Amino acid sequence: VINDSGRAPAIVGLGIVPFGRHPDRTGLELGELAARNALCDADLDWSAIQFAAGGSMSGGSADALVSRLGLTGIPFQNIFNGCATGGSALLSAQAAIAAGAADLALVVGFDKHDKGAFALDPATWGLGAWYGESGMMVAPQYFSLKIQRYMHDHSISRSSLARVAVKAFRNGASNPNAWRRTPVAEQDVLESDMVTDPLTQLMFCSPNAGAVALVLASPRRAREMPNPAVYLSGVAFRTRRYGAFEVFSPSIPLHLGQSVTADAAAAAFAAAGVAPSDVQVAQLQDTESGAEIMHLAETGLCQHGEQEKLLQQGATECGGHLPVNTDGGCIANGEPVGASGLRQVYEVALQLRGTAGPRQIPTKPTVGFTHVYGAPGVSACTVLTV
Amino acid sequence: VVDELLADEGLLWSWTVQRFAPKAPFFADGHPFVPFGVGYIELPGQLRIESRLTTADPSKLRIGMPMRLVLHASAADDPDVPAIYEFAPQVSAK
Repeated sequence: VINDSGRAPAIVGLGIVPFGRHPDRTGLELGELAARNALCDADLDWSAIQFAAGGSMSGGSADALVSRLGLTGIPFQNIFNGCATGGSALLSAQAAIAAGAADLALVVGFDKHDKGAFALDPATWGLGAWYGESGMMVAPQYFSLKIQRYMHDHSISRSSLARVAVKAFRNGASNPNAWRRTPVAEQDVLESDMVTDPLTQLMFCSPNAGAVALVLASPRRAREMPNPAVYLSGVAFRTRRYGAFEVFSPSIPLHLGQSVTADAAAAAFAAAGVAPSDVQVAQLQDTESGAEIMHLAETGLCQHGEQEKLLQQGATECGGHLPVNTDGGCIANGEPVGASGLRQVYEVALQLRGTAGPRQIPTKPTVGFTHVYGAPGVSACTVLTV
Repeated sequence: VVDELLADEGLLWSWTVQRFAPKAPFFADGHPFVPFGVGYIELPGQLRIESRLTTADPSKLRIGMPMRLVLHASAADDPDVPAIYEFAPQVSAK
């Protein structure tokens, strides 16, 4: 129904640069390459684009891409919202198209990070210097503390934690754009080095490099394009509310409120007029395997505690009834922050087009969902339909 | 803003062990990195506070166990080490 309303823009061009290490290319070069790939996929020249938005954490200033793509004078918004950068850029492009300010827009996310966990300045996040000095301002700690309590409350096993990673590497193996493409056994995941209990090294994603770009078109313009349109039926970006247990919290209230993930997911589903139970393929933030498990329930795709059964039955595998992170997710792709959210949209769009190759979901899905979560408690979600 | 004194005893709500050395601005005291525990302590009627723990041994940590506030040992001995608080498992009577 939403597709006929004439308001939801369509994704008509997909471009990606394989995720990994790119010592021979700058962040901006990666962004340029992704943009050119998306334009090529849409059979468009850069001069046709009327609005652009994008961002990067460590790879450079997105609007500097105009000197590489062409000095056409269009508005190019720089956007940075951590892991939600891609979703935030999509929101801007959608608004520009819905407002009639553009018929064709480009969004791009790219990054190039150093090895290892991020070094963070507490002042950037409004926190005292003592918090960083104490050694508590470390994102993996947050995810570990959250899943440790969640496993206690909802009877999630370590086997299920490992299965998320096993699935990620298996899906990554069939994705030529993924970074870690060697399948691993459940036992190997459990026995890899403990990083922050209960999470081991093979359960974590790592910062790396990569880029994704998408071309969006108004519904009218989308009908003239060569590719089947994938509609951006809902897109939502939210910041945390009081009481939510989010990353970098020196204290939290006794009575916990709804997470920012739940807020953003509900808003995206409401905008699309779609229920979580309609989703046939999902990409969820899997900074580590515990996050995918918790986000499954927080987004409404299952009930809290139901994950243990779903994972042990293989329901979230490509051949299951709720395929999750079919491209290998962050665990197999790594996390170039600016590009990560758009990678999810890229993968779901491929699945909805039916061109995902060896990892194509056999039932040819028509409703997909993406979700990112990041510091300091932000989330962006999309609902995609064909 | 009203100041409120927090309790120095509570229950362990969740825990983990930091097993790799955090990057700056983590205060490195010049010695080789030693893993440390981190948890949230539930202070009844008040809130849950994030804190380093005196033990990094998972076998000594379980959700719901009683904890009490202490001053980080090296901070007590060395004026150059920033003073931080920690929580320690309460020694059971039995």
